[in-house]
Amino acid sequence: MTYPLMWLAAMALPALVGVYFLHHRFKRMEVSSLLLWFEGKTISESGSKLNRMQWPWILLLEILIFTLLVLAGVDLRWTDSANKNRIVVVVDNSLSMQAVDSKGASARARAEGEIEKVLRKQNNELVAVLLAGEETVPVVGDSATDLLLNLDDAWRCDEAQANLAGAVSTAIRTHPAARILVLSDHVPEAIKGRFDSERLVWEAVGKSTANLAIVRAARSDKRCVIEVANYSGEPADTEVRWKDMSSGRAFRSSIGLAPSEVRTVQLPVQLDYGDIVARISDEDAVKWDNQAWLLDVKDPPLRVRLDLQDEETRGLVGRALLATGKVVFQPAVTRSELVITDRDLDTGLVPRLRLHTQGGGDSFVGPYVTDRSSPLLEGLSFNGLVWGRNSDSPLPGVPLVSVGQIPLLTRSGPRRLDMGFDYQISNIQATPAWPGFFWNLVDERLSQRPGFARRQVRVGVPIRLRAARASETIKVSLPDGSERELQGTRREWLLLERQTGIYKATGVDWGSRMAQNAIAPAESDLSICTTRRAGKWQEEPDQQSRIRRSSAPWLLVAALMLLAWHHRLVRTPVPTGTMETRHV
Amino acid sequence: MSASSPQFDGEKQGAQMRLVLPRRAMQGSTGNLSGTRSGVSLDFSDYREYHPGDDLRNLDWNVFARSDKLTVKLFHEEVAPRVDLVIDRSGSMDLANSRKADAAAWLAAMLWCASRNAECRVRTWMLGDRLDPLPGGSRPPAEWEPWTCEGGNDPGRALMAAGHPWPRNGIRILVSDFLWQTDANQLVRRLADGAAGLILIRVLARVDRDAPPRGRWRLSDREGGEPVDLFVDAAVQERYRRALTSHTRVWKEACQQVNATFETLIAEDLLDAQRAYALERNGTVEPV
Repeated sequence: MTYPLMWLAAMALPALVGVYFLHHRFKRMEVSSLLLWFEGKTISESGSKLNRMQWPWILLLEILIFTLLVLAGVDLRWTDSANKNRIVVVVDNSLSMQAVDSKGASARARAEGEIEKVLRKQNNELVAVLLAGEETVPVVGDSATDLLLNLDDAWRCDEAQANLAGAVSTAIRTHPAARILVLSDHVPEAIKGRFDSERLVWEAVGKSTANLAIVRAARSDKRCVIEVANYSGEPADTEVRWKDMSSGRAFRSSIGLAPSEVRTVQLPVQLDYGDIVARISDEDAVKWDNQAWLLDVKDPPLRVRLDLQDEETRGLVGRALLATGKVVFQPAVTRSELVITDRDLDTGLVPRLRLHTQGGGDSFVGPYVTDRSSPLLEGLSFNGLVWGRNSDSPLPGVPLVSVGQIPLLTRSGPRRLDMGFDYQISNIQATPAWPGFFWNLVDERLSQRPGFARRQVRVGVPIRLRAARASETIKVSLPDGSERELQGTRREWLLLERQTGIYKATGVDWGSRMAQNAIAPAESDLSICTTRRAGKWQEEPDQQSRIRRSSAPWLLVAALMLLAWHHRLVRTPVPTGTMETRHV
Repeated sequence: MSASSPQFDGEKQGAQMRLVLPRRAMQGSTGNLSGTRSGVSLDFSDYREYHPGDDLRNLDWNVFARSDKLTVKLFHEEVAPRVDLVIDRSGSMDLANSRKADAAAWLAAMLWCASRNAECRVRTWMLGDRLDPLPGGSRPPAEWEPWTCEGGNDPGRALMAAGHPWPRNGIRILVSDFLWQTDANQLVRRLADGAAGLILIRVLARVDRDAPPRGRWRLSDREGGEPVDLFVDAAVQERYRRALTSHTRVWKEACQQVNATFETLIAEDLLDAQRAYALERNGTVEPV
């Protein structure tokens, strides 16, 4: 409504109705005779009650005309939905959006306010919302209301990074005609050049804030190491607190950091130390980067069954295995996780390395053709390596190492390795490649154990979880205490969880633990956050008038037409000779 | 009757007036002699129809034997000029907010006195649903029984149904608004039949004469019937005027055919003037 005060004119309507009925009421008049009124027609010819109770159509018409004039005066406008601005909102779903300012308001909350501000305008229509994380995820919803409700659930700001450029590209591609609103806490340098676009508005709602963060965490069998960064322009002091979660032992140390300094802090660990959690001061803008979990890394050794008849070969292999420090020899195949044999031994599901040690072969000096993608060959050098084997003994499977057409090391499926090896005509056992190969072999086997593939991951990295066998049911406990059950035909699971802390997985006969830390230096650095609006949606010259169409012209035209009709109705004469009852 | 009643006023005016007797006989079945003295010289028949109350000794049995019609002989006294004054007492003569009833009473009283001044015998009749003698109608107006105007039937029909109650060669005066549906020609001929003179005086109220005001009116007929709602605009007004003019013309033409007099008086004007100038102008009455 342009002129809402015109509604006051509607108050005259009751007066109009009252005046009408007062003016148009039929006054009684006694006449000598109706003879002169109807020119000789007998009264009885015309009937008795004639149109006594007719609707006051003229009054209704006048009311309608009056109403149209009032509405024209009010100048009702309506939003032409065809001309509404379709808005796509891209929101930053990264960790830094959790940062709070001095008033306790997070960047996410401020971004929500910007969305409300934009949608409050009647000519804006929300058509899509995209969550920008490592990948762009659209929020589900058929209407603006659904989108906003679902956004509230989905927008957790727990991604390690936000690919805003990719999200903007997705928005442009999927909604070519829509206006795009990007909500983030900073303005990336790469985007700034695009602000000549008439469709893109970048609203940065962040605030540059000092922040101390743990930007790296690692543990070995001898020590725990964290790196603490001071993302500010001022020196900062903090206290590092270590806690053994199994014994409750605590250790503290205070550090002072220069502006923008990254300091390494270590904690020597003993064998009896359990899981360690490291924390720094929590009195800053973000909390998620102020702690790190460092799990106890002691894993059970790989159970290996050494089934080599040749003593020399057995010694060579055994020593290389023991050098890894991760192996224990098993007398039986059934309890083994790896069988190394030199005969055709059926080990069932237990992985097997068969050494073909028949004598009378040839020595090869290369060139070796290797499959460098295999983890078994990682870090191995074949320079100066002499590899001898009996070529007549066939090696099944896909070659991992071969010379010419002669395979030296092959793989048949995930559990069968065959190696041709004659120590008498080889020097491989005297090169670093020999212990390196067995180290890789043991590592690979250990990585195939059921449980979490990695002991420690960063938020945003998929969590790999292996089952002992396909269709095994695995229970996963999350850091907040909730549980999930994984059940299916697969053996390997990929989890995308955002909670930081310790995860536990339990199978039929195994258990595993893992720590996920919010380690994201780029997100911890809040010095680049800013509050700024860049870009402006271009308004078309007559868009405002098109968007909000005025009804006044149409109402006036309708009122005039009705007025003309009204004039004709009240002027129409009574036909002569008829008993006209003009009770209208 | 009060001193200011219309009958009193009419009687007072009538005392100064004299009915002018017609010089020519009516066109009828008998009589063609003209009198030379007003009030005395009349050609009249010596027979007339029998009316209840007539002296039975005057019945002419010979005529009855021939025609099965009862007739009475008129003697000298009978053939003296007689005036039959008929007053319409139908409902329309007492229109609300008008003075028609008073005007009719005034006229009747004036004409009665004027007739007596012309040495006529006067008999007064009331015309409503029937034609009845006015009690005391042959006596001065002061002694008349008051009457009320009511009734919805067409007085014309009553007149037609009454037959020939009046003596031949009499003067018949009819005071009414003539807003009847009866055919004017037929009725006038009936009235003129055997009359020495016929005077029709139409009394209208001003509201009868003037075109109705514009607006929305619920018209109710004084003589009954369902009210009618009517929107009066210029066209309706014009139509009313034409209807009134037509009505006047019809009655005038009917009267002209039988050499009767037709005059229209407006009730309010009549009573305001206390004089029937129109009747004086057309020679119906004259000052004594």
